Amino acid sequence: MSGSAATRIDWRQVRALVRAFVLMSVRKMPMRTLRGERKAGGLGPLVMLFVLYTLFGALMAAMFAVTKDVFLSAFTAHMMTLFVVGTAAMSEASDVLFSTSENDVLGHRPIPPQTLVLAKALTILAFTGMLAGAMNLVPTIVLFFMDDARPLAPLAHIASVALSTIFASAAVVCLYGVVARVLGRERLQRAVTGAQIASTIFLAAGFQVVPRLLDTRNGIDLGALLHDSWTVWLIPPAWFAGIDGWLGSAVSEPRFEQLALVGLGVTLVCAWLGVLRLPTANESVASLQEEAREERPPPRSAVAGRASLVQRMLGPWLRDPVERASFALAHAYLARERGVKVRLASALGFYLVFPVIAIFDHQRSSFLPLMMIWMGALLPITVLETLRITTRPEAADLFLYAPIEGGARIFHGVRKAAIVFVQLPILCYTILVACWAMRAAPTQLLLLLPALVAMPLLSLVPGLTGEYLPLSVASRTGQRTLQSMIVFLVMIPAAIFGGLSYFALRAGWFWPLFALEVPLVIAGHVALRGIVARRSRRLGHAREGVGA
Amino acid sequence: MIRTRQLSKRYGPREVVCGIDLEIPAGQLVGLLGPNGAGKSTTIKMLTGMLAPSGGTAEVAGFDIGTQALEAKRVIGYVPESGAVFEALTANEYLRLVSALHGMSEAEAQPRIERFLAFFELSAAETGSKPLGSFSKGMRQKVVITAALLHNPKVVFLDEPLDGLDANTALQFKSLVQSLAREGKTIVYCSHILDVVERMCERVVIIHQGRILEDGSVPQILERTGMRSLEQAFNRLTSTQDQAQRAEDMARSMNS
Repeated sequence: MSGSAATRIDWRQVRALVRAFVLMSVRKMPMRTLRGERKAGGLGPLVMLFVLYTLFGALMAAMFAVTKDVFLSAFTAHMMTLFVVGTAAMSEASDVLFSTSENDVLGHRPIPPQTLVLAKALTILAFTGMLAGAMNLVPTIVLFFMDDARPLAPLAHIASVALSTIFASAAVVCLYGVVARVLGRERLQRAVTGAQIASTIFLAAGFQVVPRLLDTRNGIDLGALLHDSWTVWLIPPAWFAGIDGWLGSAVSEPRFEQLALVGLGVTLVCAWLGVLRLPTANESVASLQEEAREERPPPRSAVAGRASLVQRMLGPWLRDPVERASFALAHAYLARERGVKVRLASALGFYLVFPVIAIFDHQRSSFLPLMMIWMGALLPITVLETLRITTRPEAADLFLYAPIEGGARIFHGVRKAAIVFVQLPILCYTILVACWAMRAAPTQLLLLLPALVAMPLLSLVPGLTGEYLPLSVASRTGQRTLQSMIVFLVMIPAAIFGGLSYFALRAGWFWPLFALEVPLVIAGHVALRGIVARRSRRLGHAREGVGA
Repeated sequence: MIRTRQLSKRYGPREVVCGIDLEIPAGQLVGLLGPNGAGKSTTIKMLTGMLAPSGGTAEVAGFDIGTQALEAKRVIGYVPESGAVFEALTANEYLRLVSALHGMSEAEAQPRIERFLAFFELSAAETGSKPLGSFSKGMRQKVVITAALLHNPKVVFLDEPLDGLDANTALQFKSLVQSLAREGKTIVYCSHILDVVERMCERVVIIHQGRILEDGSVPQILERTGMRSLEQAFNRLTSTQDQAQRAEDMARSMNS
């Protein structure tokens, strides 16, 4: 590619591409069900996300009662915003930046790589901007009432949130550019998944480091945070809170300006690197598509061998041939499909980081593993929802043509694969870490029991949302973030029960509570299996809708 | 118009295209044939700038595909085998996007879009309101073909373009392709339907295992292979087994 053409941004192309990408994100599209096609998506999921994030932001604004001044309140807001927005950008970016399905549409068009990457970065920015805007809607108003607020405080916060969102999106684009450039196109397929896990670990770890700087038990020392701690220069939320402090606070502090300039500078560097210097998008995407076809035989046969060994071991549990087939299908996608692995990677990063923090943080050594076990109980929901998404939903027509009496057995096969291949390894890891972290108070390990008992019941939850078919829904922006939010909502009752167990253990009535839980879980399991079976329609009815 | 020298593509130790030398002048309609996995689509992807070659050079309309990919892409039209489109867009939105990517103004693009849609008998109601995801395969293929020809390319790569088209539209499209070649466009036509290639293309290139096995007009190939039809010649060049006998054995084994 000639140098002059390669560094050019074609703004007309950028406009056309962003328009198309945004339209594709908000359109209702056909999804496969056992009754044929139905429409899904549209603005509904995005509106739901906006409402949920606004509520989340309102809760965050309540914390300003502790922080009280503009800089620290903005610092708290940016800390949460960057974490949430960064995670969302990470989980959406791999689909947007490395969509193999679009290569046949755009790969042969005269689009400079920089133009394509800029259009994609702006698409990610539009999505993350919506989330950041929702999260900061209430905090922007509340900032106006801080002790040291100037009238400009809300406007300053809008500007700082805009810049921090650009930073988060540009950093993600930059990271993928580095992965594609430094590690090379040949290894990109594996590298993207690794990069996703690594960055999620980084985000989760960073999110845990920052609160330790704000020791709320002893009050927050603004001076110490700004002057005594060198880490303030390394923490992105401090850079962007610097803008709030500089423009929105009556407190005169030269470091506000310096932090703000660092934020501006780093954002510009990330954007310049990510959009202008690193893009090799066209070649990378083409390379991914070809590599998918050229997958080497050894890993494939290894995966197949492992699958059949596991199936033999689980024989009595997988007696039904349809369950066994969908179990094998789910395992193949979990083991081989880049898209599925990348989507799961962002979720699994948390499960690797949080239990380890318990080892170093003695105050949370019992709470964190317990929380992770309860979250682990919800992992099948994440896996099942991830396995719904595909770039080729029409392939799910196979389930319509096959002589299957309803979709319940397909659901159970995929659910069992999620339990065996994702949930169990993660749980073993978490339990090992929990045993180490809670060795000083081993009786607290009893708290893991209620979660372990509830797991089979919780794995049935996705079957309640309607009929389940794997690989039946087209991938779209916001879908994965919404799924994470649904898991978050399901976590609330689970967390309440976890808390109840904790207090029961301290009050000495843990065993009676556990004795009550076991029959309830068994009854619930039988009831949910019945509901799932009833909800999945018989093929005789299903065929009426095919092609409609 | 198209010139390749020792063009090759390698994935690890496996070479899928092995040093192809090809020269196609302007106005020629060339059929590119080969069994599945022969390297046809990989060759086309390299010629359209979608895939970087591992070795050799390729020029399209005078532009080196390695160093002047953007310039080459401006004069290329491509119908991919996958028939991929952005399914959430309507046909009009999709074609407007394609025209913008090729630098065409709205005033220039709209009459051309309408002309193509009329040629393929796609109604305004369908193209303006329904997303491409709800189109039938044939209707979608008409939009894919329109997207490939909209910017009046000098070189056109057609990979199984008749896929999904009804008999009348296929006939009409084949006539269009021949007319375009007569007007000076270079056309590379990739297909597994051998009799279509035999009737349409003045030159046929047969690829097998990444290498060119035959290159010439249909009569020349028949003469060299001593066969009576292109299908027989193709079978002789690319397969060592008797296909009819294999089919019979297979049918018998299904009942056992």
